[in-house]
Amino acid sequence: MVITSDWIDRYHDGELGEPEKSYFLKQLDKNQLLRAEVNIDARLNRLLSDGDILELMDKVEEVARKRKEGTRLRNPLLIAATLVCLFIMGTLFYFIEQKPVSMHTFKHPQITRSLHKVGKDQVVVEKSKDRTTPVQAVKPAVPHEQMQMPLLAENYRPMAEFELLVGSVTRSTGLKLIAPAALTVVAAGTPVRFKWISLASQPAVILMLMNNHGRLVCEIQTLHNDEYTLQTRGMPPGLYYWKIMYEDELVTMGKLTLK
Amino acid sequence: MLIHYSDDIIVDGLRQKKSSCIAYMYEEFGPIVRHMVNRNSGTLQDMEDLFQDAIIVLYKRSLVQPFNLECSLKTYFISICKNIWLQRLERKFRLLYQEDFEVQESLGIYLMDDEQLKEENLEQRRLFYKNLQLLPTDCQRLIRLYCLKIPFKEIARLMNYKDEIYVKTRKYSCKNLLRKKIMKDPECYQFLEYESHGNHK
Repeated sequence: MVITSDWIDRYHDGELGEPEKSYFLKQLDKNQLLRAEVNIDARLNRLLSDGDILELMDKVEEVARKRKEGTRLRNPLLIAATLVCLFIMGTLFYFIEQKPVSMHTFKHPQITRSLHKVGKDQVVVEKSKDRTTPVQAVKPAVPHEQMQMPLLAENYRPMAEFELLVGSVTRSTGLKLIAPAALTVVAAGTPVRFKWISLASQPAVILMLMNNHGRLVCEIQTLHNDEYTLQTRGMPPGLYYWKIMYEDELVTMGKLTLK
Repeated sequence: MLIHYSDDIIVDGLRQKKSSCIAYMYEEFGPIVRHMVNRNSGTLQDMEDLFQDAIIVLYKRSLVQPFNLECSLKTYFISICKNIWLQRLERKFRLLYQEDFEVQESLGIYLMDDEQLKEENLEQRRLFYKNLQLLPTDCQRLIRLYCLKIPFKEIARLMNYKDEIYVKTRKYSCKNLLRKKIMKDPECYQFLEYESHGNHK
């Protein structure tokens, strides 16, 4: 006689005949594995007979599954939202950082920086934590006009504000300019001589040269002298305006045309 | 937004096995249960299992009339969870370190009459249920119909089987499959050992 898997069910359902049942019980005493299986089946029958609990377990399982699915869906959405936020922040940061750097010197209460462009792509940043020391504006290695490479005709366009002042002499009485003339035209590279007479023995004269856009090209302080020769070599052809300052007052203003 | 349910509504809903009430309990009581399990190095799965067991206990208790709560449902539910969890920790510890002693003691517990809500039985029920869900759909359905005491003839009609004899044969094979699954499940080994001491009837 061979015990097949359906015997366990039949045993619990009371469907085994007398000879089968006695044989089964004998085997049950001998065979530990069969005994374990019969016990599992008995417990299983108890679980399955409680339809109420089975139904409740189905419901709980369903709720738990829905919650898990919800969490699974939420997580990728959260990751996607975070990535989008990071992308937007990164883009904003990139554009803020790309704002053009001004050629002007600026000061900060704590840190003073001076920036200037050396080349097309190179930017030099100088830091000074000394609050009392003023920072000198650094002269560009290449004139700004050359970097921008404007059209030649543009270099000769007069500046209305300066044109009004050309040739006029202010109330300053301590200094008299002799040369050059208010309207001077020279070839590019030709030196221009500035000469003046002063009542003071050591006049502090300042010569300022601006281009036709009013941008300062150079500023020269001439102490203990009564003349100064301006070298125009390297300066691009165009219209320039000069100012002679004496004791913080404008003495006279003229224009210089480099051909 | 989560609608607030009163304790009575939750208990009534649970008696009727309403999914909305079970979901509400997950939302309201879940974080505390999770915290309690985490504190004892439990996993998220442990928490899910514990929650399921506690709901069954609460359901069974709520069916016993009169069911009067002397504290809030939340407190009551958490105390059920705590009891089950502590019993489970103790049993797992004993399983790991005092195996021989544990087997004898568990046999004693097994023979007790009010075994239904014992932590160990709750776990066993849950593991059996888990294995039941791993069966093919038709097997699951057949076993459930059989357990509802529906006659074989009716089952054959519902499941489009040719006759009662086929239903019976199929039922044997499905139950056999389920038993084998349970016996192969490592989580069920603990229960198999208890059974091997001749307590089959």
